Amino acid sequence: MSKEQDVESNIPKSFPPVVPDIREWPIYKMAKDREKLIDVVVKRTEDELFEHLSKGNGLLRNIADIYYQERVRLQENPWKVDPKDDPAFWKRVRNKLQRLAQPGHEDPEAVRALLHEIVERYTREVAGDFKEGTYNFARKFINFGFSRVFNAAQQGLFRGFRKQRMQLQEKMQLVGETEKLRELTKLGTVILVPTHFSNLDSIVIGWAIETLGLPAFTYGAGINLFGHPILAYFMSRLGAFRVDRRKKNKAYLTVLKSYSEEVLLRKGHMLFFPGGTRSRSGSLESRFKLGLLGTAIETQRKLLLEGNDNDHKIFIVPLVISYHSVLEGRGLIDEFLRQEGKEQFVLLQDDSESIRKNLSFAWKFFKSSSEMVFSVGEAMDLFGNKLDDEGNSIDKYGRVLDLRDYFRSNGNETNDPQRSHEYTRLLGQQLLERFQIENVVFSSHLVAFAAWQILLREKNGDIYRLLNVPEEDLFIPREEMLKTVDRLHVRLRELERNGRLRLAQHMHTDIRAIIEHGLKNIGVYHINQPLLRGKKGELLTQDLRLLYFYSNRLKGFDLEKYV
Amino acid sequence: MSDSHTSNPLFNEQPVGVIGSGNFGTVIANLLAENRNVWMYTRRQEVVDAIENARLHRGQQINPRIKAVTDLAEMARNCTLIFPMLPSKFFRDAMQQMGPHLTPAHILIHGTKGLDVQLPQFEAHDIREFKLGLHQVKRMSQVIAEESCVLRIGCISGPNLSGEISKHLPAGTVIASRFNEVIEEGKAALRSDRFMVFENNDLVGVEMAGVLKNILALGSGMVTGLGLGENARALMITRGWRELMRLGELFGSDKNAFMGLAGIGDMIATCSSPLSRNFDVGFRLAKGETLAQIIASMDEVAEGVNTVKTAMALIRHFGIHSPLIKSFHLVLFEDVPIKDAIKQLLSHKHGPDVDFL
Repeated sequence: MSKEQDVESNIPKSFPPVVPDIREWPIYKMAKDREKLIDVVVKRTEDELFEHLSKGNGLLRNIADIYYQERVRLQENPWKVDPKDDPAFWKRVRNKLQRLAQPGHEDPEAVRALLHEIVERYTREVAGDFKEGTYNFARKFINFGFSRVFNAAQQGLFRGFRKQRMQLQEKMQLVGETEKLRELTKLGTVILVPTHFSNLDSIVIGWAIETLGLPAFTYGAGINLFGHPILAYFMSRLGAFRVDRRKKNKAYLTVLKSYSEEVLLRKGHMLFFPGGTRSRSGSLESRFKLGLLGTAIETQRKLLLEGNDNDHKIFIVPLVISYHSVLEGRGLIDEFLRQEGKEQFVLLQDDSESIRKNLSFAWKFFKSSSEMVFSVGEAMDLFGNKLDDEGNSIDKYGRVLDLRDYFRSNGNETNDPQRSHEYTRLLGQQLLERFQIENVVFSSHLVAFAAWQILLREKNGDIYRLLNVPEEDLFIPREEMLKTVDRLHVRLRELERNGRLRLAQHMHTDIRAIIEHGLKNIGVYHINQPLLRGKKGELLTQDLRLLYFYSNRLKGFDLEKYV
Repeated sequence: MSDSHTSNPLFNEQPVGVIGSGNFGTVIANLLAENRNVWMYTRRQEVVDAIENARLHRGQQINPRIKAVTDLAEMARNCTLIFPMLPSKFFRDAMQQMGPHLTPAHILIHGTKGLDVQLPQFEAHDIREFKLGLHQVKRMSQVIAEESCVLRIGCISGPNLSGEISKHLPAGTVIASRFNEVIEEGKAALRSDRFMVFENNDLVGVEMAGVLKNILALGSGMVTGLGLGENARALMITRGWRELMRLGELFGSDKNAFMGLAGIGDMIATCSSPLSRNFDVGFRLAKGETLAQIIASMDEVAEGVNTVKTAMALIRHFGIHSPLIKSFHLVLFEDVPIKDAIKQLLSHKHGPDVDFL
């Protein structure tokens, strides 16, 4: 007991819980009502699909197509995580299809029942759960992990609590509109939209959500992550739902959409990685998968116009996470270069093995003295408008907007899917801009960018030519680095003044100190260093690809010409 | 008013708004008035008088269904479909005035073929060194989005010389918007048996084609004024078109729009017609007048002049090879005699013919 208190007191406690009683959390209530939720999702999906799939080739043929795609998946790309009875289930589906396709055996009821079976299987696979006990355990474990390792890393065994806590807050900073985010979780449903660089993102975001005193968020996690028994245990009890990127058939996608819609309707806060997967190149997201955002807009429309809950609002909050190091950076950039180099079809990999490696890396990550900044962006509604303290949408003149107007045409409320699709696209654009503005630039990003660009200039901007040069042959004179970083720093400060990005605190010092800080922190736990100091003060690299990866973080800010 | 009009159910609906009472604004208002009641905004009382009393403005008869108004707020309250038809340099001001009265229910379709440059000290920089990044140069649809909460935005663009449309000669135009709904609304309001309305979802492309083609209209005027012949004009336009498409791409426009009515269509009309203001500027420059003299004598802005300046600043910023625009800039703003600019232009290396499709 006393030990537990010990752990607790290491947690930064600046944010009290918004809703202290876990049983009041939407995610808890949904888990309690899980069976009914599944029923609703199945029913809605089935109705929508029935209408949609009955057109064209007819329901039977469309189910046969789904079967065919599933058979291809089972044969060509099976994953460890797939349920053991998958082949048996689809075999049964095939038998039923064959029977129903025979002349004289037409049976619309039976076809519909088959659709129901498939939809229910998908829904049960997707649906997440939430266990209070596991949550309480995880929150302690993660907090313990973070505070413990930071202290261990500093070898300060006899530090006072206050110092320990301060240190953690120093290392993992939550900046930006944190209070607003807390308020909004009370006022409506929040979709937190983070950047995605590392598999550890979900863990560190979990920590951030807990530290901010927010109720737990649910999110769609790649089904491959559930291949790892420990991860699977936690994720499936902490509200994550499963997303299988291999399944692209209409029935499965409709289940996902319908499930998300139901979560939003039940005021379940969600986490949505808009890039879809981790950034392969190391740059901020430049293209979005809009999936959930589209569902959110459609759900908001229904809430406003069709439901009786028309002041229930959905809010969007961007979150940019800045690291000095990305554990799996090397693997990501390799994949990026493979894809860029030749436009070949890349089979989605079962990467549960690499996840295991990542977890063992996690300890290194905890131990590294690296800092992390979570930049909570300004909240907006689904149309990119700002929000006042009551959660009302306001325009730039401070007027409260009636969101129903977005769905009105000539004074009438209309349902226009193409219009909603455009609203979704515009929201995606807004978020990309927000990511840039909320981005916190670190010293390591700056030195990587400067070094890579200097080397690249010598190869006339040809990335592949540069990547083919052996690392031993490359160096950057101290003076040139100094001058380049200086020019870039001046420009970055200008961009910060104009509100187009943010600089980390450690960036507000003199150039030499920034370079040293960057060199000390960049990719600390890689075996081969992306950037290091040579004997004569020049800069060297042991891993050009990693250098490229880290330099990409500053891509898209139009900085190249200042090199 | 004919019977077919009064039986049109649209007539019972709210009026359509037109902002701006220039040549093109007046033409569009008259076209709209064939289908709907129209409110036309103007700042000047004498224009209101001309419209309300004489029913004659800019040499055009004013349809009885057009009402002149001087209050943008009132227009916003009464019209959800509004056509801003203003010179680019007044555009942002007007949107700032109107912005506080617009709602997400509004649909705006503009007809302005110019760019908004956000830099108060635009004139103060050395014109030979001046650079602009994309965040400083905005399309009109971006200005609308920035100054209001309106998302449903479109534009109208095409070979639409006001003088010809006002004489009831046949013509066609393009309405572009990412929103099909905006295109439909715009089409329904503008359609007539002498004015064909085509649709395009590439708003950026249609906007940029309309803006940039003015550069070639200027050049075409110069070629004519100097008497360089049709070969030279064809050379200038074709090679110039390549430069324009490259610039359009910077803004994210698709190449297709440049091939349509708002691109090639509009270019053919403005590059061959003395009715075009931009053509006129180039022509008079070639005849020896200075830019200042020409601008002082015109009652409406030739958008192409500012577009050359903005385009050149972008070209410098992005390091694009764009010899023709550079020559126009030399002539317009750097006091280089036309003959020297042409000599310099002809000395350029010759590359492939078509490499932009």
